[in-house]
Amino acid sequence: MIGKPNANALQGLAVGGPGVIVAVAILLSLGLQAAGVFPFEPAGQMTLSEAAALESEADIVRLLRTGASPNDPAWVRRTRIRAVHAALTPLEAAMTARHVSVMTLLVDNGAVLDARNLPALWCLAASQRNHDALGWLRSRGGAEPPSGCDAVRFPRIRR
Amino acid sequence: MKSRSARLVSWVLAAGFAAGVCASLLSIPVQVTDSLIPILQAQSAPSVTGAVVASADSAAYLRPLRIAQIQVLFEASGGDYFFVYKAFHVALVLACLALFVVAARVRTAGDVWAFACALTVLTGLHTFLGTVWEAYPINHFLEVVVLCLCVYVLAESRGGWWTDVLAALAFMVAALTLESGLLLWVVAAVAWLTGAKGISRRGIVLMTALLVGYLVLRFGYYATGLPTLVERSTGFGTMKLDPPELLRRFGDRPMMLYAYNVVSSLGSVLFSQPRAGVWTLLAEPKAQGLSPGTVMNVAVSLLTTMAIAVWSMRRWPAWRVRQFQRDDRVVLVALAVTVANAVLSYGYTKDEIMSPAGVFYALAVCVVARDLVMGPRRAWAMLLVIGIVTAGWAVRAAGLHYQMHQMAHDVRNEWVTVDAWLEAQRASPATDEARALVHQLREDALARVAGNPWGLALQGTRVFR
Repeated sequence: MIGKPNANALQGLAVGGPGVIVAVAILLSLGLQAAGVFPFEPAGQMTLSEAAALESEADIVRLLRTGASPNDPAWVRRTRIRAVHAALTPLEAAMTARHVSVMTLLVDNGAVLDARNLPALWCLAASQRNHDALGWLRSRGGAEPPSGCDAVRFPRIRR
Repeated sequence: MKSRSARLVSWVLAAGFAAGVCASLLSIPVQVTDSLIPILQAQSAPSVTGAVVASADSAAYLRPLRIAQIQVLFEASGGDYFFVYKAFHVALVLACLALFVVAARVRTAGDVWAFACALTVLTGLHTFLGTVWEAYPINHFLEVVVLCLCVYVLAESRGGWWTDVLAALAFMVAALTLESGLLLWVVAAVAWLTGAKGISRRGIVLMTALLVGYLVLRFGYYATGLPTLVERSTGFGTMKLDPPELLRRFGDRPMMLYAYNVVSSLGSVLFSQPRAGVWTLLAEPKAQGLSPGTVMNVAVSLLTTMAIAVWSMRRWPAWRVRQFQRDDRVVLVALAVTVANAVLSYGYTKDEIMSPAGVFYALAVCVVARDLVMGPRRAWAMLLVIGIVTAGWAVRAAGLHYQMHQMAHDVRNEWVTVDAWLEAQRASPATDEARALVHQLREDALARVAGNPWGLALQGTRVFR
């Protein structure tokens, strides 16, 4: 049977237009990826701090295996948090994004938690009223929590 | 547009959707939950026959071919478990989309527009998500969907003895894989009653005999029985209830829960609420706030179902005198499958159990959408509403990929703590071979970069529900 030519184009567009757009977008996206172009991804490799902020434990393990340091600060780019004035250590990034399980993973894999960074992490958690994280820090021991946060410098984060 | 061109465009559109789904599917590693233990069991099973015989004793379920398929693929894998299970899943997705094209029967330009809309409904409806974002390690729900579509296409074919044989074979495979497989009989019977004679009367009798044989085997020979309240958790009202709580509330009146589950399953397909038995529309405001995605899902489903209902009411006089055209058949089969699917999921509700109903719902949308395109000129306001609804479905279809991307992230994370998980399940590998298998799958998952990691930073879960 030959198609009816009187199909109302406007009605057709209203009904099927969005579906056609989705199909074209998928094919375009896959074509670009096949050509090695990733238009929505920033250049450069994900950092350990970004993986921590994204709660991507698999990427943390992957990056640690490739030699990334669990204590080095790095800029956190497009995650739900963003470092504003300073780079974040992976522990700070995990704390800011409220991922206690990630902090455990980091410490189990060499991240140091001692008198040098505990006050900042403690005050970060206190400023977020993150009781899970405060409990976790207390359970880790090794150093005393600060008596107050007025004198402690901790990263300012834009959410 | 000529018929051949229309057909070609429909295949290209379906290929686009299929390619997207397959790409997202391949970004997800083999799951820890649902997949790993069955694979370990397949490794320890002596043979396919041994695995099937061992599964025959299981209480509440009769699914010997489910186990057989897992075992066959395991033995065919040659150690590349990701490849073999994912390849099978990809093949099922391709078969589903291909059969959907055939079942939609695109011939004109109007058909093409309607089909594009139906594709967004097919992949955007939440019942489809469960068929592609997880596996056990085979997604048997998708398998039943494919077989349902297969039987429908056979019913609409020119027929012959081979269609009867194929339909009967498909029924046997589906019924012995999952209980939802019984829906194949519903598809064939309703298609036959509405004038599709591809499967002959003899074929319908054969399938009915097989259905009776299944019931005798299940309730007579094996005395498998039916799932009880202690089998699984299920949603009720605004929360999910565990078996102990289900027993406490419904132990002495299970019919009430079963009725709720049937109605919930119907509502899930027709109105996108409740979801797996939980009224998220009511639960969300009390928790994290009502998601825009939930509102959108309900709105577009409600309006789409209303369009199908209006179309059906217009056809009602013809149906009363048993005058059925092909479009009537599509809608009536969709209706019957939806009701039967809901009844079969009386025991507990899950989005993916309703996936056969979801696919036929999309076919019904194709019929109604074609009518909207080819019908009389609509008012601008009407066109605007139609455009908003179809755009909503397109957002839902795009959301499928976001959700699969999120799943890839979650599954990769599960592999980090797989040893602790296996221990908690009391399923820690006891042999060197089993430990090597877990290690191999873990390394494979961790090495896999899960798509675009920055997508996780978006608040997509609020929009894509």
